[in-house]
Amino acid sequence: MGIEIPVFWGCRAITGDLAFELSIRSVAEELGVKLSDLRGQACCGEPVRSLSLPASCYLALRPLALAKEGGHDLLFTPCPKGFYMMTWSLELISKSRELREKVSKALGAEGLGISNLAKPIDLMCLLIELVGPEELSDASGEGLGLRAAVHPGCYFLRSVRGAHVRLWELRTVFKAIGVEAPYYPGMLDCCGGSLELTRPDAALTLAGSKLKAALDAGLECLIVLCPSCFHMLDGRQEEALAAVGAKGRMPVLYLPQAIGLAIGLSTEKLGLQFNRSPIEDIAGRP
Amino acid sequence: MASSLTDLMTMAKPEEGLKAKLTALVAVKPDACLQCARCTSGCTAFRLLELKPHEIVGSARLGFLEELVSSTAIWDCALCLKCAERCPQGISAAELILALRNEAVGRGLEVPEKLGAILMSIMERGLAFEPRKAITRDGRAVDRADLGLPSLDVGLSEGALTALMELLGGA
Repeated sequence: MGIEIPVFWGCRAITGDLAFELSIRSVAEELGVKLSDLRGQACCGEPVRSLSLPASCYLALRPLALAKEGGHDLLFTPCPKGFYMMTWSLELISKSRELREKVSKALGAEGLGISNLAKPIDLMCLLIELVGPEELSDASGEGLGLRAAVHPGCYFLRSVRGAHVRLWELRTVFKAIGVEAPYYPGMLDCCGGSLELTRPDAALTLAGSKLKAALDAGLECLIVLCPSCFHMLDGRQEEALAAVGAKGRMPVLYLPQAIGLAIGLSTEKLGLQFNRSPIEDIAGRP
Repeated sequence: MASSLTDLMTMAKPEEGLKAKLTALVAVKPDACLQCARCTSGCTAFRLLELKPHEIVGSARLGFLEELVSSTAIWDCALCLKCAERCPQGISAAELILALRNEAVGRGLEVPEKLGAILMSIMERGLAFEPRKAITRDGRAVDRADLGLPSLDVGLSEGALTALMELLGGA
């Protein structure tokens, strides 16, 4: 296929979430997408929003300017928070001349220009528009045969593309890899990740509620897209379930891990050795 | 019209200047709010922390913002964006809350400790968190090199750092 694209990983992957990075790298390679790492990767600005909106916009748009400076029209941003920040910031600067000027001046400090920005694309865009659902389906063979609870996550679901488009994208990818993801009460709820910084107890309760909802629905595992959600639902699962007094454990996978299993990649290549939740039964699929 | 109002609880008068400042980047202004409370009925933080975004938007619409800036309630928002999704007028209470947080930070009011730590980390290494080794299910600590992952070019240049600090102002 010969697609080449720079990638902006985001803080969680760079600082140690190797399951996210490994699974995306492996799936991309298998599907014929060559990733190159953007130079000068840094924070996407999401946590800075509460401190300064102009500073967060600058951090969100800087990778797009760096990608364009490197000769690329597209920047692959697999982290939903990073993708949200980029698209939201683009919208903000289109509506505020003052903000645009502030960000433009900041970008100018590195010789970058606000008129020269790459277009951000996320995992769904990569899979559906660049790779194609048919190719994904062909690579998946018979598929996973899994009934899963999907946690779309707030930043994926409520991006500028709109929730209805996002859910259609998810269904398209799930159909291609043989995953049935029925609605369950609480599917569209927040995992609490953003509250971890400001109200940590409430954050754990929200994560626990989400896990309990998925357990009560009797589904086989929970599939997430966002590293922040994965941290709350997989990494902190025991604490979260204890916070709501729920029993049981729920296997949690990143979407690229589920895709990787469907297309026959090894558990090591997908970083499943780093998942904290009980994924043993799922890892044996298909 | 709003300037003739008085908050009888605090005797405060509407702050039109502050309202204009805080809503400058808000896509749909709070003046469009119908007070239908759909935002609050779906609010993640209302369930646990009794945050009422329609009251925040309603206060902003009338220009009563001083009390909100120093309120701890603005730090209860989960930034889940459900409010914007549910609002029939397209108002994002979350965006308004972010502007209120920015104002609180600019005034040097107390902000959650972890946000300060993240800012320090970004200044130090360009990333929100400190890099750490990943721990496997059987307890082994491994890093990128152990897995054959390429090293990444990470961080903010001196120019980027200076620009960021300028934008952060008093934050």
